[in-house]
Amino acid sequence: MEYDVRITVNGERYQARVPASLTLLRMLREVLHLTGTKEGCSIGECGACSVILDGKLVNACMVLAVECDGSVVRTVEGEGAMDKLSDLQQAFVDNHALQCGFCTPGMLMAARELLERKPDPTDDDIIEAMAGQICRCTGYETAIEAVRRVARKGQAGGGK
Amino acid sequence: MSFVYERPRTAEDLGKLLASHGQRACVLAGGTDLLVALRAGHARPEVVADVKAIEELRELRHEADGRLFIGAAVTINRIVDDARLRAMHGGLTGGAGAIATFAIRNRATVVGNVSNASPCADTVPALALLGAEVELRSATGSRRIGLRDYIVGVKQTARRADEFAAGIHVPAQGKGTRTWFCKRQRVRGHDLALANAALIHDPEHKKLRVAVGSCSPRPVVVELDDMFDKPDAEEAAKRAMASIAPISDVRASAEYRTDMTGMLVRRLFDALRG
Repeated sequence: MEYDVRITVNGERYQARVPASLTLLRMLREVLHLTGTKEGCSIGECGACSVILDGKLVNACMVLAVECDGSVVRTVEGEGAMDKLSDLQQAFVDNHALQCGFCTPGMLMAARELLERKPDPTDDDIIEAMAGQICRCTGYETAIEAVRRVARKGQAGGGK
Repeated sequence: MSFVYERPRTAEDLGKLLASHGQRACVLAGGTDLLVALRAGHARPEVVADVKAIEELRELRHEADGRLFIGAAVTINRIVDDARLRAMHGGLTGGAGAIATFAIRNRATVVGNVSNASPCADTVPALALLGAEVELRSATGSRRIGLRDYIVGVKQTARRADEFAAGIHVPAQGKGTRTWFCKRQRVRGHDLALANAALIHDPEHKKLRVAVGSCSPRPVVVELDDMFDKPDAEEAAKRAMASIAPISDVRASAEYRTDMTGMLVRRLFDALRG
């Protein structure tokens, strides 16, 4: 069976007709062609597909697109602009918090959601928020430091 | 993989769906177990019935007398974030907060954690100690079943195909009751329990009990009421280690799980002493 899904992604409204089995992740990537969100494990282990769904961080591989009819989603494409990185993106660059970059979209969304929920997070808050984001390149410390620096500057909310 | 997605508005409509589709239907709440099963082909439903639009199943209700109802659509993070619940049942919110990752806890539900019937479910030890009951409903009626009877084996519950778990009822506890949770896992942050355990201390009824998870098909509750006035961590650990039936698997050996059960019980007794 196919269903009409109306969804707002990064402020843009979309409508798509999708099969019930299609995940939010596949809809973002293959139907809406927003390929910033990555597919890693597809079973909720790695965090690469993390997006903010109606204000809450979720793994987009763990959500059916039909469940999101009427929802508001934020993805990495909503961070910064073509000519200007967001504060978090810039901090990731400055702190060498990525190498291959595959986990970065998920890391950024997890960090963004944290800073909006807790603008002044402790190190434990940052570690807990980033715990679901598996990175095989950097060893996490640089990403945690990037989030820490943005939080300390009090620049949270620098996304679009 | 092709199925019909249904989003009933009432529990009655969900009951009717399950009455007509039975085994061919899957109930969807948070989806963090179901979507993995769908992807792997372990679940091949014709109908997926989403409970999240049913208002009464979204309820997390504190009654004036201390009873608690956790509806089938209540997420793990909702109970972790509930300050009253954290103060009342630290063992339950502690276990809930130890599940998977923050993003998973935003979707996964308490009822789902229990109904998946995994031996390592982190909410089960505390719920077993608190005397929780699962409310099962169908088109023709409803029944309540104790948590330890609901979980009949690994990944198996007493739910019939025409029933759905509407929620969990936690009875009022004795005055001054406290609970604690402890978990042994390989990595901090996102891992299943090698062993987990909870402790309840109820001064009104002089109740002292430990529940152990991950070490048997069904949750094990060890009664320690006889040592209420003189808690003995070593003896409690010994009794807990003798009550479990752990297996060796990819995560840990049975021997290690047994040792860790003793360690967890000793830690819970440390917490009890404050």
